[in-house]
Amino acid sequence: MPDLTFNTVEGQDIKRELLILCLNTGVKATPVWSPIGSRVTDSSEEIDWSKETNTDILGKVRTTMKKPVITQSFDPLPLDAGDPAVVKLWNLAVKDQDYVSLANQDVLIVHRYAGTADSAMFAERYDGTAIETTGLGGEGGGNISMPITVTPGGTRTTGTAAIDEAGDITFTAASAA
Amino acid sequence: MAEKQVKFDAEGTPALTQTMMDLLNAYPGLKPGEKFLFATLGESRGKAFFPSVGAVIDNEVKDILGRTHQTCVYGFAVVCRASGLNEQRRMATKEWLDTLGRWLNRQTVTIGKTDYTLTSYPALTDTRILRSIRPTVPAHLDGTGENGAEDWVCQIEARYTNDFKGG
Repeated sequence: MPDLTFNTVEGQDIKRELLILCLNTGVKATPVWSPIGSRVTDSSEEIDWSKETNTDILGKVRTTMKKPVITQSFDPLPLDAGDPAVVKLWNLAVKDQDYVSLANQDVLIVHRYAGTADSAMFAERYDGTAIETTGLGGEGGGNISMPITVTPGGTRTTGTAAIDEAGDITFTAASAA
Repeated sequence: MAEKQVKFDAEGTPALTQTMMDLLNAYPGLKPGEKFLFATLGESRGKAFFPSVGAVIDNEVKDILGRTHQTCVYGFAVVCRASGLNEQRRMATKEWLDTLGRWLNRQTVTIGKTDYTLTSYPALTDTRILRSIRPTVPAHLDGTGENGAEDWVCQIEARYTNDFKGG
């Protein structure tokens, strides 16, 4: 895939909402991409490159890095009957405690600011993603929240995503594009 | 220290006003034929609903998906005007208003010999959901007119959320 350009206006900041992490709430062959993060006001990918820096005996500084491990926390993540991603995760984590399935979720990260706006935006699919619920509860008089940590993993497939007027997301792998 | 700018939910105010009027007039403590009027009281008696400034946006956050989540407050006063009250009737008037406040707060109240509980709040709009109604100032005598009519007042606030795309 050639280098992409940003589809935003030069000189302007890029809105946070243009980076979306989605959970596949359908099946692998016919995915339904449901954005995660409704009511979440602050969440970022933490990218760990396993960086190690040493100085050799000749005084040269050498740094090694490995393929990055990405983690992203959503805390708090309020429960909402209208949020299919949250409902699916609640069923897996709270109702079924299905740790095997939770460690093998299908997620899509859509970079709406890169590529062609709305029709062919850069996206990465991770088919073996671990999603860990780290709590369930809240203060009295408040609301129930279920914080999660997402660690994208498995096979990484890059490609493009399109978002239609209804907000439905379609992913096309680069090799098939 | 910077002053907090007060923002209003102008679109939500009419919905709140109508919903509160309807809810107040559903209060089981009302006698047949009795009803709350909007900012209207008779010379010597009546029951009325007086909104304050409108629906104020108390808190507003934007989430990472670009949706705006507001918590709004709609304050209002409920007034009972009555004349010729003795001590017993004053106590009964205050208790009637306080019971109304508890009923709006979805507490179980006893009227006559029957228990009543407001099981859920009415719908507002597509994006607005009523979360709580509670008295902020218990019923009290607010003033006496030249004709001896007394105004008993209870201050109440309704809190609701308003979630929408953009903003």
